[in-house]
Amino acid sequence: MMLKRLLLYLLILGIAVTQPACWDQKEVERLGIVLATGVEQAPGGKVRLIVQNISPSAVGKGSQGGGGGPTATSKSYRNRAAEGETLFEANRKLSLETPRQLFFAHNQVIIISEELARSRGILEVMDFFERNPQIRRTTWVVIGEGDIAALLDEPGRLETTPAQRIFGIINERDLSSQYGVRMLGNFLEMLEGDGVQPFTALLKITDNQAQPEKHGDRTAEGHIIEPNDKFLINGTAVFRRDKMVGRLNPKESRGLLWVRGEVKGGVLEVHVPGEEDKTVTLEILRSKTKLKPSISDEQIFITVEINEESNLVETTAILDLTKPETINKLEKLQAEAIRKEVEMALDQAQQEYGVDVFGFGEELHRQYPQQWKEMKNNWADIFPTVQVEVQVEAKIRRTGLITKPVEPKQQ
Amino acid sequence: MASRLLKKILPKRPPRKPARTTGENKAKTDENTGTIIQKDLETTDLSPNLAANLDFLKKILGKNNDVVFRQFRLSTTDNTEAAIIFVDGLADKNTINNNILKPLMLEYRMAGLNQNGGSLLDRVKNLGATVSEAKYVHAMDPLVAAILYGDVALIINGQDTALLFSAKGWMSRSISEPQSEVLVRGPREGFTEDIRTNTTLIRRRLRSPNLVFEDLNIGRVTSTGVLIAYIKGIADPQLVSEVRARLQKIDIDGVLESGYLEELIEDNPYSPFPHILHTERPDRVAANLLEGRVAVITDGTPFVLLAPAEFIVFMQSPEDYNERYIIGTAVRWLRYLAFAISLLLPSLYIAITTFHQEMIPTRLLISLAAAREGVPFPALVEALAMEFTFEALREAGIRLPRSVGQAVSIVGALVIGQAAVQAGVVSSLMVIVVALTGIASFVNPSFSIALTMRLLRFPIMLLAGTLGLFGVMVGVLAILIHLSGLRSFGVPYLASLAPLHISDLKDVAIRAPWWAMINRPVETGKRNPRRQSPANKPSPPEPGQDKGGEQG
Repeated sequence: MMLKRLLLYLLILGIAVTQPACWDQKEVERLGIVLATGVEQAPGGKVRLIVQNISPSAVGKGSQGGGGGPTATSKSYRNRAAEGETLFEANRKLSLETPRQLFFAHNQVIIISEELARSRGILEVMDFFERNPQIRRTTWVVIGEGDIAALLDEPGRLETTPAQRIFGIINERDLSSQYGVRMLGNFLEMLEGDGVQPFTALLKITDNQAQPEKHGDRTAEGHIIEPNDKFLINGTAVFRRDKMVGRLNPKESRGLLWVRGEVKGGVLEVHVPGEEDKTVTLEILRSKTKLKPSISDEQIFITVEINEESNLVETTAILDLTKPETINKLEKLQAEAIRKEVEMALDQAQQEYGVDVFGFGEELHRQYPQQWKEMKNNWADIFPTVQVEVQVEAKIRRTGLITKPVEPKQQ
Repeated sequence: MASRLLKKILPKRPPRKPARTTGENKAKTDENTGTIIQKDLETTDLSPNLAANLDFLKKILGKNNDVVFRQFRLSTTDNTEAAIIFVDGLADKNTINNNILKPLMLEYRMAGLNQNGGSLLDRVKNLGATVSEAKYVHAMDPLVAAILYGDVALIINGQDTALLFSAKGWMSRSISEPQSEVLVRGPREGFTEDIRTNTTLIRRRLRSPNLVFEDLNIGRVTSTGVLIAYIKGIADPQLVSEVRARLQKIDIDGVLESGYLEELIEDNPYSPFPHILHTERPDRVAANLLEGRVAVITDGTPFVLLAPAEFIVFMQSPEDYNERYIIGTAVRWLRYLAFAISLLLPSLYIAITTFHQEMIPTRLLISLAAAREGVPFPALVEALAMEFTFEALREAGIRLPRSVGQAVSIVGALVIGQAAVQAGVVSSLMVIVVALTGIASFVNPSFSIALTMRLLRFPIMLLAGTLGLFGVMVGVLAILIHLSGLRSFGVPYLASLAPLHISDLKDVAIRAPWWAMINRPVETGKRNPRRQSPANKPSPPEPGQDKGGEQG
């Protein structure tokens, strides 16, 4: 009796554990790991989905054999493309050629073609990515100029796949702060928010200047002929709602980042008065930004307060850096340079494109919720009329190992 | 042979007192079989006739060739006949020769004590034999029991009382370093199989009249000596009486190791977790007695039981208290981590690689997928096979002779490591996981709880392979629920954590320095909570008061 009951329990447990389970079980080696996804327009009003499908054994063998890095014979990834009315349809069409089910959870970057972003809009693309549980909200979204397939086949050597290369480049964005880039989650928030418009980085392929012009045929010496391509992140794409309306060049992009308080590094060049041809280079250490909106007589004012610190890293001008006055002078020049960048960005956004990528609307919403309710619906019309005042407080912290520039002694 | 005979002659004593007879008239019973019925042994007393007594004893013990019957004459004027009976090997021959036979056969006369008054037996005891322990026995039953425990029985013609001399002197293993609990810093003495040696080792550490060894005999046939040790005034009397009661309830033919007793007195016989601690180290016993626990010492085994034992006790090593406390604390956390690894790592690996690939960092996922490319089995089967191999190897290594054991481990390392990976049967990462799990399980200072971890790993692995992380959580929660319901002699098994005793965390979350361990553990030290004066923290002498103490 006791034994019978025990057996029954064991049976129930066995069934409970084995029967409903395993439905999402998938061995690692059965996954078609996707590291990058590209979306572009296809003829006939369709969209084309391009995925970068990694081949783990090619990566693994490279490191296992001790050879290091992928060789020309075995590429560590395979790009696949399919067209469809919707992305999901295209995705499933890929199964006709992919031996493994595509696994998007490790997707590093989503590249949307500029053409599609400008003409068709990105709403349907976003719907697919937002709905799919495998896609992370931390995936980077970038806009690709030109041929997406070429972008996803960039031949750089560091990192194993172009996807990881793009990911790596974006991770180092604070060294330049010359473009604004968004993760999928942030991008969606901005897309759906009503006081701000989305923006993200623009990516394209250019020629690699480091390749000698007279390359010649040196395959006999063991050199591999490789395409003369490299990535270039070329400023920021700005959107009105789901459509891309324009771009900000690197300087303007940093203006945008100053306002949003996202500058964590990068280089500023200032020219000392009197020595206009000489340049002093400053590396930004950190910055903080405060937006202070105010409303008087139907006119909206926004004060942008920027606090910045930098190191002097290079100077061609002969300066006596031991004197506080010199530093003070440089600090003022630096503040002016920053203000200029911000004003360039404001100019573009307010007058040229008329889109509030700065998030002024959100700030107004926070400070003046009542008034915002009235403004909200015609914010696009009000935004260009907003008066913006930029106040910059800039500091120089260190001047490097030497105080005086390198200078030959006068005989 | 001997045990079968003992089984016949030494069953449990019935409470009633039958009418007693003497060996003289009872020795004749059952002559055709040559054995004496048990009842006779219990009811027979010694007779004044030496021959009859020897006859009776020979019927009982005579078949054993290790029992020596030595007949001789006392050096009294009338040369009274006498005999000593002892078990060869149990009793010390030197003592017998020099302290019993020599004085009685030679020097008795020289001492001129023949004419003194009193009974012959008294004179033998008081003036003759020079043995420290001697007592009178009147009945056959205790006499036989004493002989079988190494005493020497002296029976003199004309006396219906025998003298028992304690001359226990059998061969026993000498005190050596404990094999199962090796310390870098700490005493090197370990218990031996001899109960007297063991009590000595404890007594030497606790030179207090409050240390009590209570005597019990367990085992109908083996009649094993079992001692309950505790410190009066520290141990909870209720706990002591509970231990005593549980031990007294035991009715079993034999107790050969303390493991028998452990299973017979523990609170939850169905739990895979040990809830009585066993140790080979006298210093550990002493430390636990000082914390108010009770020790059960069993004759014939170096393993002493300590109760109550909470879960956390199994995570502590005596070395923690000998090494500096900062290091002790760090090592303790290492141990907690290793404990979690040894229980969960293979399960987590299975769950994450088969269900939750999105949780793996991208690069790791790629190399994982590359490593598993071509592996024919699912991760669960792979893990089970590897764990099985590892456990089999470990078991083989323990049981085999030492020289062969090493060969096994070399072959094992080659087979489950290099060759299996190269053949593509298992992935290299799985080998790492299994190896890490193995190492982690060796970190545990308590072998018995490490065994539990080894066992529980497998059901959790199955859960992980079928339900993923959810299954792992289910397994862990089931274990936690079970643990929180366990008790060890009335003390909650998870005590100090659940129920939470914040002051006890000084010996759980950290190993507090000795000067900060002012109180004993709450659960076991209720009776006498204060361990030391709170002013023990060392500090430099105050300036200006140099050598003040010396002058005073």
